[in-house]
Amino acid sequence: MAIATTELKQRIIEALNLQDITPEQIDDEAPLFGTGLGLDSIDALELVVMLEKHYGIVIKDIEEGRPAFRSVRTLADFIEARRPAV
Amino acid sequence: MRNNTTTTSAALAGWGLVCATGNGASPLRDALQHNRSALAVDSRFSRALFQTNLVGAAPQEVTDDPAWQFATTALHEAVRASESILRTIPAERLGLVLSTTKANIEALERIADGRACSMVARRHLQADLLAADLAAEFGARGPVQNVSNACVSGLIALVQGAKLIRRGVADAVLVIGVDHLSAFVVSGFSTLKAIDPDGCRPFDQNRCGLSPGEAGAAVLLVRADLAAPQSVYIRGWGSSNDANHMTGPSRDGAGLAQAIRVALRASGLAPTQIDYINAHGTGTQYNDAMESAALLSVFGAAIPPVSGLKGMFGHTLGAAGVLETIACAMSLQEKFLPGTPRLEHVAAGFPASLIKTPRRAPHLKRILKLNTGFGGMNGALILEQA
Amino acid sequence: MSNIRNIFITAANWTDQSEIATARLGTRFGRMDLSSQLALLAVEPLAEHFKSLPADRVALVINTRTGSLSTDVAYWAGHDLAGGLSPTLFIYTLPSSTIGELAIRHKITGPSLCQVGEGRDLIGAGADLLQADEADAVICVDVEVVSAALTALIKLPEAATARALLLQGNGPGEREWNQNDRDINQVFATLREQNLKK
Repeated sequence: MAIATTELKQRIIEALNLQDITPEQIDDEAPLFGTGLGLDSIDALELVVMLEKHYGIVIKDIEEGRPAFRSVRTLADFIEARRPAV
Repeated sequence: MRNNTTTTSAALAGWGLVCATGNGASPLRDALQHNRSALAVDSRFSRALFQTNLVGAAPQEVTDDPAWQFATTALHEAVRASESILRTIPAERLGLVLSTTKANIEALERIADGRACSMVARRHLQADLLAADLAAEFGARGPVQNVSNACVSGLIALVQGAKLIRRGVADAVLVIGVDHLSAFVVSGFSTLKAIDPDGCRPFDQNRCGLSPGEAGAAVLLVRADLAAPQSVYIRGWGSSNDANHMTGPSRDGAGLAQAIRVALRASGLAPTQIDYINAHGTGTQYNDAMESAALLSVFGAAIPPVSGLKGMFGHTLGAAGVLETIACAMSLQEKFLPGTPRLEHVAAGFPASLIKTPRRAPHLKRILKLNTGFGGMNGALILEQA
Repeated sequence: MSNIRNIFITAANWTDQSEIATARLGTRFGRMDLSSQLALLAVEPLAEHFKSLPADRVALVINTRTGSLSTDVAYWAGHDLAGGLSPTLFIYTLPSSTIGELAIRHKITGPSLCQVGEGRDLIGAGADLLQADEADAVICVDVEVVSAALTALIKLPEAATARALLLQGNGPGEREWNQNDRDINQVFATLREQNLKK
């Protein structure tokens, strides 16, 4: 089953300590980095940690995660594809 | 300032060190002359838990207080090397400036893991207490300071020492830089994906990160008129901030260029009067590109010979500025330019004057030493042999 | 060295944890550690006094009572959890991280110095930068953060405060700084009496 993007957004907000931002305000398709939420390279690394902690997905090379970090949608798809079988 | 250089500036009267090249100045001199890398596999680190196990470890037994151990090793040698001058300095006129980013972080790991840790080792978690204990141990009863400006700390500590002398509050200052390898720091750089698992390659086209290192490096700075003839002097300095990003250096190198320009102006020197540049050269993508951009901006097409030493002993953090300045002072005394250990193919667009292997330089007189650090900090120091 | 004869404290401010929850200083305030948050809060009202000066002539001198040890403890607490070590927290395990955040916030590019300890030389170090003509204004900040977890490691009580003052040479000054006033606690006690908070 595809993971709920609302839950993912909540995890992003918590992992990155985004103030005054609710999951509803984040568009599934909007870019996470640069414009959009304005995240940077440190946030990308923090998301790598979040993926390991909550979804058991280990990313060794940050380049490998780059396409997945484009938007909440691409990240949800990436988690879905890489999630270890429970 | 420059009109009375002889009385208000500071000279390096002696030094001592411990780092991956070994205990003392002479193994470092040997490594510099032979362009030898001392990075090696260290069983304390595993590739399962960290990005690498290849580091620049000092050849000393690991205790609960490596910060104290490295600092005192280096200071003892520096004191021995400058004994004849130091004897003439009253204890009240001898200051001490400690440079460190993590002090004795070993104690934090030991306490967290429930391993044995002495009260003294625990006390040295605090840089100010470490500095006070070192000052007491080495009889420095003048001003005592510590500097914690990330990886520019060592360079700034030398500046602070020179300022104590210029202000007339000390005749001599022991400047000691120290940071030790720890799971704490190596894990941190691993989370930042900032390490080259196979060892750093500063300014190389294939560079992809730094190599963690450790060192204690000490210099005795003295009022210039007290120094022996032919000593190496601190001619001037500059520092700046990128005001851009916490970890990523500015892309255009404007901040570092500003620090270099301030240092040149304060020294009353033109760019053409610099004979050699000792770069920060961590081996990360962005640092080395930023430094290259800064050098291009200040020196244009006439960049003096440049090299970097972190492929030799790794990135020694708070000790880096002091350790690399000692290497520069050795180069000035023995008239050679160190190479860039582990550099194979200079990246496209980087200075053509980057040197891979050491070469003789009979007319070497002035060196520009650079360091940069997290928090956007940049520092430039100009050393000169009289 | 320079023609500065007198040094003035042109603004001062102090703060504690109570202001953090409602503070919104930049989009990434929430990401910072407590030391950086407090430092930013303390300096914020001083900005009107230095914002018109050239960016490269404004310097930062920071004193932090225990360095980054509170954040160090928080960072290392994650070391035995899967994916537990936080790159963000690691960045703040440098005592000087407040310098980076303050420089970014106020776009100031001058010299900076970070020291750990009681801060006895904080104002003296700032004054020296003015007298050596390395800056036209120096933001001096003293941060004291001791987390509950850190009290188990070192002999200091829990704390979360920051104090800041702006030093300028040849002012129009509000309060001339006396070379002998090196005790930061005394200086701030006097500033409080004079209600110089702004």
